[in-house]
Amino acid sequence: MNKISELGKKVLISVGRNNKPTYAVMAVAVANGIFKPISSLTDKKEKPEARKYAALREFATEVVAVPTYWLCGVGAAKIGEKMFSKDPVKKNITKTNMMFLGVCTAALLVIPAVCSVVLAGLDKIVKKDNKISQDLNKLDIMSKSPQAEVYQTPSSRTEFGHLLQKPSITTFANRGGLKI
Amino acid sequence: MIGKILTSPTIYNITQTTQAQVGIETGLKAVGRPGFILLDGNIDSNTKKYSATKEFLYQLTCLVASIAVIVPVFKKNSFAIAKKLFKDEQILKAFKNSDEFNAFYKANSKDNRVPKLREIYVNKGLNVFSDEELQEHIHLAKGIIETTSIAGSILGLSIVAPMLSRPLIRPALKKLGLDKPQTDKKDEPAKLNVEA
Repeated sequence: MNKISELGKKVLISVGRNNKPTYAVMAVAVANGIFKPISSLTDKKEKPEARKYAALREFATEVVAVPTYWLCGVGAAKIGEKMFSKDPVKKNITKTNMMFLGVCTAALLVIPAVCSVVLAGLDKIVKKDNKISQDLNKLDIMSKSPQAEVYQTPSSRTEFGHLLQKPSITTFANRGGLKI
Repeated sequence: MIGKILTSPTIYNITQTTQAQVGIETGLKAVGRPGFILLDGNIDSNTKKYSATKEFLYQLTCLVASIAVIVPVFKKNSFAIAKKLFKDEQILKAFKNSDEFNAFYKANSKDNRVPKLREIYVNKGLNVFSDEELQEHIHLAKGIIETTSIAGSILGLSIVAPMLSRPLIRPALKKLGLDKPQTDKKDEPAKLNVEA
């Protein structure tokens, strides 16, 4: 318990020293990737297929978002670091400010752009799958199938059909055999 | 101009606050995502309008639920939560709650905070530490506030907002005259090639 508490304290001190803009957005994106698809799957007002599709889209969006936030944030911070490398105070401020600008650019432009490409691809895959299953479901085999022509021999049903009938008082007279 | 913005301590202070980070990011999402939906050439205009408005309203719900309600509640109670986990921390004894600490943090410049905290410790009869340790105490308190804000953001944006948005967005879209576009056309059944 003490070790966990010490570790927790170290994490808190680190966040307090430099609350990097990537921490919060990435944590939220990871949580969104878990909870938003669950929320979509539990939406009872939607059809099951629509639920699954919405959950998949939300999951894919966050899968794109997490690395994009990190790449944009860290990439921009590296550029900022090089801009004022001689002044340590300015360097630190620029690094953090650039990281924030990188995260903002990711949220405003990069993630929606990447998502529109990724989700378009996902749409195509899903539609292709749906079309195959719909085509299989909609095959109207019963109404369009050719009428089966059964060759009936005169001896099979026409002549002795009455013999196969269930015995009853009404059909009794028609039966062959000894007549009283 | 760009250099001034990049080295601005004001922007730096904004970037160090979780509430501001998440608020700005959600605001940008509310603009960027609907914008890209509207720019998509593969969707028909009704679907575009519907999806873009839905996304905008969703991000707006996130912004209101999380930034205006949940994060402030978490932030306010951050010291009370931390006091249960770290009972012996002097900084948590020096300040009643996060508001008191935030007032101290904002009122003093970076170089002034350590001597001021020493004064507070002496006045309250708490143990006196070295400058480095006091600096670490300040970081700890700040970290507690920001981490609880991150937890609040997660709760607000990932759990509460999706639940809250469902009953709010559909009626709002209907009021705006935007109904869900019908994509399920009743196709003719696929014809089986009976001639073959």
